Amino acid sequence: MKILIFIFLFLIGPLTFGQEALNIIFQPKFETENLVINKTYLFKTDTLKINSFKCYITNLKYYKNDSLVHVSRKRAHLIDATDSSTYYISEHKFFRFDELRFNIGVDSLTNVSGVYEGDLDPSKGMYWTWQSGYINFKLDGTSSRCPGRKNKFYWHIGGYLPPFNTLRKVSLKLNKSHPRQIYIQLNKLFEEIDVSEVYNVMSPSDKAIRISNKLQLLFKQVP
Amino acid sequence: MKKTKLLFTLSIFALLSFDIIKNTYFFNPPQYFPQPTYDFQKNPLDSNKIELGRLLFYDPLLSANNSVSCASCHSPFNAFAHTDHDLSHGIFDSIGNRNAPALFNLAWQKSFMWDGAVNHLDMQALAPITHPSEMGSTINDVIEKLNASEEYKTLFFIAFQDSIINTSKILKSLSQFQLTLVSASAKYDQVMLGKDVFSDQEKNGHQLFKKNCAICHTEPLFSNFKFETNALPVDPSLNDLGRYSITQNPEDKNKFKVPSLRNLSYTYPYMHDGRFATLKEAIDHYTSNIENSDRLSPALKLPIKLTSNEKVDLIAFLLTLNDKEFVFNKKHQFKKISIETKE
Repeated sequence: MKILIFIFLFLIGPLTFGQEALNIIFQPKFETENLVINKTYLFKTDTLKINSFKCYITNLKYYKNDSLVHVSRKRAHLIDATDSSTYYISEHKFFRFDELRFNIGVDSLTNVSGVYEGDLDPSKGMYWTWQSGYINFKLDGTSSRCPGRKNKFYWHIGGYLPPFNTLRKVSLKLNKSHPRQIYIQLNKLFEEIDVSEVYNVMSPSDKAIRISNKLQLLFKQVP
Repeated sequence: MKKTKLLFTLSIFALLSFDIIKNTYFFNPPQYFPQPTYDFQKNPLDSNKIELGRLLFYDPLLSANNSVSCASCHSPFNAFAHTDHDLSHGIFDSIGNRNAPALFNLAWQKSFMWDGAVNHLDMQALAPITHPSEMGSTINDVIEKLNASEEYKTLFFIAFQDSIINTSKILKSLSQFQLTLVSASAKYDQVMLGKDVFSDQEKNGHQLFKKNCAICHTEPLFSNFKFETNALPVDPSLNDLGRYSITQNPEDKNKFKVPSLRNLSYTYPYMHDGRFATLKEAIDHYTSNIENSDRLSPALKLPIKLTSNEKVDLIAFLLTLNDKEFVFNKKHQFKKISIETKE
């Protein structure tokens, strides 16, 4: 009997004491505030509301001194501003790292390999049904400067085939202060893209490429 | 009551253990067919999933107001095309802008729809389900309706050992059924297998076919599944530029996917917009109306010249591609599956 208890403790020991889960947080921000859906933001000369923000983080890898220490267990992670639990990416083990590398969007192989479950489920509203392909980054809302119907803008950034491949790679060198917190600074996109000019983007196109080229700029370590 | 539940569960497990048979049983094309493109390892065929897919294929539940099923435009008796309709019909009497293509030998296709908009068979069904002029629904709506059906929940459990209905299970089941739609029993196939012979007329037609048509309509599937332009003038009422709308590459203007010529008699009218009602009109287009342009398929740069006798012979050969056994195969038709779940 004693032996059995010993074996039991031996088996569950590492689970309860030795291991610590590691969480990375991707926090969508608007200027200094955490993003709130449908809140009115005054931004320069513009009055803005974000109705929807979703974004794929894929192929997440952790580096220390330029060498790979961990590959995230999840193939693709969908961040959705309507559910803050999606801001967390958790790994089942603990390790040290000083750099994150990941893709914004879904790679071309995944795009042509049929149907997936989980975050890549086409029912998540991030898949184009009329023309196969994932939407990599989706930001919808209203802007007082947007000439679209009811001032609405639709930034649905996707496309995996050249010349409209919109997947973008990010590598973030992290300092020690808050290595597990990343901001997605959405206001930055309104500085880079003029919403009065580019407001309906819903297919792989030049406009999608223009926006995708700015997406890396949004990802910042918490200062 | 508990006993019936137990019996029910046991019978499900019995079904599971006996009914799963190897892929080749359900998908066994002739030797002279090329390797299929579809990756069966990711979705191995089994009878429960095929039958579930068949049920979904014939179920108007997939449309917003439960009025239109896949089979509405892809009827088994028309080799899964929509005979006599130039353009596809959808929900609320809406009319689409293309001819519903025949469905068979899909395991060999790299892309789907006339313009190749869909890149994988598993993803194809999403397009008609959500298109406002086809089924006008959403995948979430379909999932909700299926989840409300005890019968479907049971069938999903039998097929996947899991009754949670999701996009992947729906699409994979639909793929499974459609993968079994193999047309390889036409007279042409019997001749290929040495079980039949062509008449002299068909033989001559076959030679003419090889000389004039086979570059694009490659044997034995009778398509190279590439995108080509065959000099059809753009219909101004549709303004459909085909492949160009997907790639936005000017080179792709007016290009459409080469359709298979199998089962021609069952799939009229012809071309992406169903503009030709008869085979003769289609052949006359190739012999008389091809205008040269930069993008014209290289295979059509040299004029196709056929005498009227040769046209008759060519048609005689093309008719050997009609696969009656496929078209009237009961395994492909609607079948009511009923499961007793009442207690």
